[in-house]
Amino acid sequence: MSFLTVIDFSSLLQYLITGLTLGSIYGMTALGFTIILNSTGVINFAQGEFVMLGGMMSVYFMTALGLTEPVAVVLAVLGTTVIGALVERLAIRPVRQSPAINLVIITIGVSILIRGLVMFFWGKDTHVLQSFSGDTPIMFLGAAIMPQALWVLGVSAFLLVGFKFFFSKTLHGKAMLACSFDVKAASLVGIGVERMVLLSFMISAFVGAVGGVILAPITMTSYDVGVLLGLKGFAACILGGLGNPFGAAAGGIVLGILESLGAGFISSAYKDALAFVILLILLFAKPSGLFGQKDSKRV
Amino acid sequence: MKSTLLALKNIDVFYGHIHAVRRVTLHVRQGEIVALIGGNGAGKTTMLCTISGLIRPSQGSILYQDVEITRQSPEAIVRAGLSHVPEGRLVFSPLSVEDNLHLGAYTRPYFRKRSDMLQDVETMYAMFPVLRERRHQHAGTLSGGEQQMLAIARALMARPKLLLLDEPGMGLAPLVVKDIFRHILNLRDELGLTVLLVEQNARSALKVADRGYVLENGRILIQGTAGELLANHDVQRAYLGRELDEN
Ligand SMILES: Nc1ncnc2c1ncn2[C@@H]1O[C@H](COP(=O)(O)OP(=O)(O)OP(=O)(O)O)[C@@H](O)[C@H]1O
Ligand SMILES: [Mg+2]
Repeated sequence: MSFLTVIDFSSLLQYLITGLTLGSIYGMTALGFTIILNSTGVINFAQGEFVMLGGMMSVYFMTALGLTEPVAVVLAVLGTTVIGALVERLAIRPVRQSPAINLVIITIGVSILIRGLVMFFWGKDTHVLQSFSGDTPIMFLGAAIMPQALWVLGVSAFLLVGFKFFFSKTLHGKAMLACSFDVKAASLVGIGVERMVLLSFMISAFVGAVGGVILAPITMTSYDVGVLLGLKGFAACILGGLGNPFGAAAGGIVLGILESLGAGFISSAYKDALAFVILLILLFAKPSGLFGQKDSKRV
Repeated sequence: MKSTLLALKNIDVFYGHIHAVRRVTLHVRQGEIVALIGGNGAGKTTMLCTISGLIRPSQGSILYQDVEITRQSPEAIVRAGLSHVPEGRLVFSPLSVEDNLHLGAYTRPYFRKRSDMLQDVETMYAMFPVLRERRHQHAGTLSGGEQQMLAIARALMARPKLLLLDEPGMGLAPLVVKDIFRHILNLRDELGLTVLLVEQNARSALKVADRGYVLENGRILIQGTAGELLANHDVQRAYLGRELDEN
């Protein structure tokens, strides 16, 4: 009672918007995790690096090649998508038959390699990207919304609707799901399972890079931003129920909002820890995640 | 004599050190129903998976319409006109019945020939009316018999010439099994399909089949027309439970 009267509405709204913005990025990272998990059974720990590459490649294309930001951003997303394909081709496919745990360890190796290469060639500095539509805040019911936050919200909503459509309405989307349900049956109806795995790495890299690009103007970027983002995205996945793409996205948003409220009302020093504490509590209470299905449904 | 659709020559298959299929030679002619019978672990499923490209044989060759398909991908083999209904049906449980059927047509040109595909879905519903009733239901919620029909219909959506069926009667009530075998006969008689049928239930299989092979420990022990096999004493004792009948 007294707690609610102390906080004023506009700062609550402010925290919610900040949380939603960050949460969208966690959600997109989580979506990337889920897409690869579903097609291969592997948690790709290089997902955070895809997010980092989106931001860092944009910076590189602008500073080293002198491209304008829109061109650099598009190239960075495409470049990361290609890197996603290379990861699958060079690191995953040659050892595809190994147990999932080995593949997971390989993805950890890949993430260290990518981070190392970026640090070696592009340095350890932190970089900023310019906001896409300026930095004049829009006032809304007493809260200040940065135009970039609208970009984040808009682009993530667009991607989410796009994926919903892809997986529930298109034959290729359903074919990709089919591979996650039963690889053998998928091969027997003539779905090229290897091609689907390649596609899933490309899509995940794409989503990750888009997230990285739209986030970079807000949080800045450096060679190691992928580490924490990857962890948060992974937490979001678990929060939403492992394997459910839209649960993962929702888990990201929940995590972002909790984190932002925690930072605002308790202490920003503990915001990262807070998110993980909440995650732990939730997992004790509901091990299948907030939106997870009962195991029996996936027989 | 009808032309040979599928011919296996001296096929050997290993799982690590386990020699699951040993120098198997068999053929299936156009329009035939051929039964492959044998007990648990005889290698029947392994044979079908080898034909459909899921498993690579270490030796031997597989010819389909006189073309070598031995090391082709499962996808290429489906495209060539050979569909495999796997053991345990393996329908895509979380997807709807209709989505399962659409995925069955995955290898066919989708955007140009969508109307053809939808036409075929209707044909499947006409053949298996229960699937029409359940079209929007998750495939995993169907009964075993309905899932088997869905698995067969899904395979037919690829418009195969040859259908490989792995124990379609497994775990089903006798009446349902009878219904499924009636459908198998129809597929041959009305759609002109050729069928290679794997069954443990030798009697039902040999009743609909033209010819049969008996597989034991990965080897073909006996082959002949369905009538010959039904009358064969070894087959009777091992697979038809004749001695039990007489007691
Ligand atoms: N993936 C595998 N790895 C190792 N061994 C296998 C594998 N699959 C089958 N086998 C072995 O190969 C042999 C043949 O198995 P297969 O499944 O082909 O038999 P089956 O005739 O289909 O039997 P059932 O009637 O019980 O289905 C068995 O000894 C089995 O243990
Ligand atoms: Mg079997």
